[in-house]
Amino acid sequence: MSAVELATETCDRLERLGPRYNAVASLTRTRALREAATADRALARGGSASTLTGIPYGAKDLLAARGAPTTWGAAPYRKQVLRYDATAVTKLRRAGAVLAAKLAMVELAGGGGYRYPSASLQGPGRNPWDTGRWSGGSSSGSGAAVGAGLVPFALGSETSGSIGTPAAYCGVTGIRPTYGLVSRHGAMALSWTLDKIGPLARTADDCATVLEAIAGPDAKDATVSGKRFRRLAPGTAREAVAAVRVGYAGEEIEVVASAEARGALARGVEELERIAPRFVEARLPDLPYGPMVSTVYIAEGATIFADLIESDRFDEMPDERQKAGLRAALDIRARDYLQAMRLRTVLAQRMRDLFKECDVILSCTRTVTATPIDQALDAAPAPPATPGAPPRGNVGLIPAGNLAGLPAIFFPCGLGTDGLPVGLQLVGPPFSEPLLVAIVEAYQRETGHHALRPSI
Amino acid sequence: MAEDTRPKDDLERLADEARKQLEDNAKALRATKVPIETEPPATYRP
Repeated sequence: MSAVELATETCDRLERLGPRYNAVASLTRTRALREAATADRALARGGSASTLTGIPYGAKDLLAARGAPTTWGAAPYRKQVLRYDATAVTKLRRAGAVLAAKLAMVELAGGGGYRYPSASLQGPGRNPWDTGRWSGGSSSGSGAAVGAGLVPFALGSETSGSIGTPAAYCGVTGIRPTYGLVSRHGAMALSWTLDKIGPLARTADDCATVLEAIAGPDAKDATVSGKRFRRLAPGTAREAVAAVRVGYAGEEIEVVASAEARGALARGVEELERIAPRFVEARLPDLPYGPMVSTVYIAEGATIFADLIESDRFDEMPDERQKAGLRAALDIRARDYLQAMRLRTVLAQRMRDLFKECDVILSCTRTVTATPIDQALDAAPAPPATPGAPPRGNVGLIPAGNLAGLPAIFFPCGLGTDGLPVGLQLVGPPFSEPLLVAIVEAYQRETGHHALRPSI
Repeated sequence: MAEDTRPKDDLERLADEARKQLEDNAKALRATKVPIETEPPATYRP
């Protein structure tokens, strides 16, 4: 099959099946065929074509793609067309990948605290395992498109949970890179200090291939570290997985997880322990992660979108809770934002201390399976930690990892009793992506959860 | 505190809840003491 044939088939499939999941923001067929033809010429020449040459993909609609609509999932930006590519898109083009579609997302990446999955210009992200369930957010289309097999991989972004949640709900693998590993040039900013761009794909191997292409220096993003991502050599990876100390608490599965999710999550942990047997008890520092992360991203997001929030166009967005959150956030005190930021400094030091005791931290990605499409996301808020309440383990690993800028890998570990996917996450020190990938590659060689497919 | 009887998606109720959430967050942040020398992560680069 030629790259042009593959691109044509992928675009046809996205056009036919994408609406079933509200996964596609816009097709980029003309561009895809042009890039595919370039890939075919490169393949015909032979030589050193990259692994991604001719491979189609989708990009979250938060990323700029020259000449295509870039709506950020929000009605006020439905006609926005940017004249440049995001750096991640440029790097994938240079690696030979073919952009087939912009993928749906929660409006403005959900920074105001949306109540319903319908908070998106494309409608609620529907899960390929059950279209009556949510695909997760805010990278809703990225999770659904990969989960449904519409594209082999997609780009998503995470401020706090937006790669992990769709990966868990849709049964796919995702990587949240270390803050600063991947350029954010051309990506809608929700939070300058939290946003990360990362891949979603079937396997850790595929995610690593994409990460190799998109990581690295970029003069257009001052927050980029300049570091690159390279996998461990096979022998080094085997030794690293055998020796890795996995920090784990367990209560988040034993106490917090839903009845539907608990069994599959526990079995996933047991499977991982057979592959990486050096488990040690580890718990996150005791800090107010929820107030910290939401104060930071909603303050930064409200500042970024202040002109919109104070304009009539803001009324075009459907989720009233999200809008109320952003309006209120315009009045966050500097004292409180800066206190949240100072606590990030404390967190970073305490995480460095924790990583003296273990090399990675394991937890479930989400404690529940995908929620019904019409269920309010704040319908059953987690009870606050109170003295005397049962311990909740490392249930705060997503906000903690994001606040500390740490990398994570999210991977499926089976199906809950309701037939919906559940997943685990591993978080490591900054720039430990090679180790995280090695562990999950080993896990996926020994298990078949990543190969499960929903009926389409 | 009396239960809010307004509809869940009432705009004034949502606005009140959003402000209260920010206040609750602020209380939690201020209750967590940090050493006086603690600086926020540096992002400014001259």
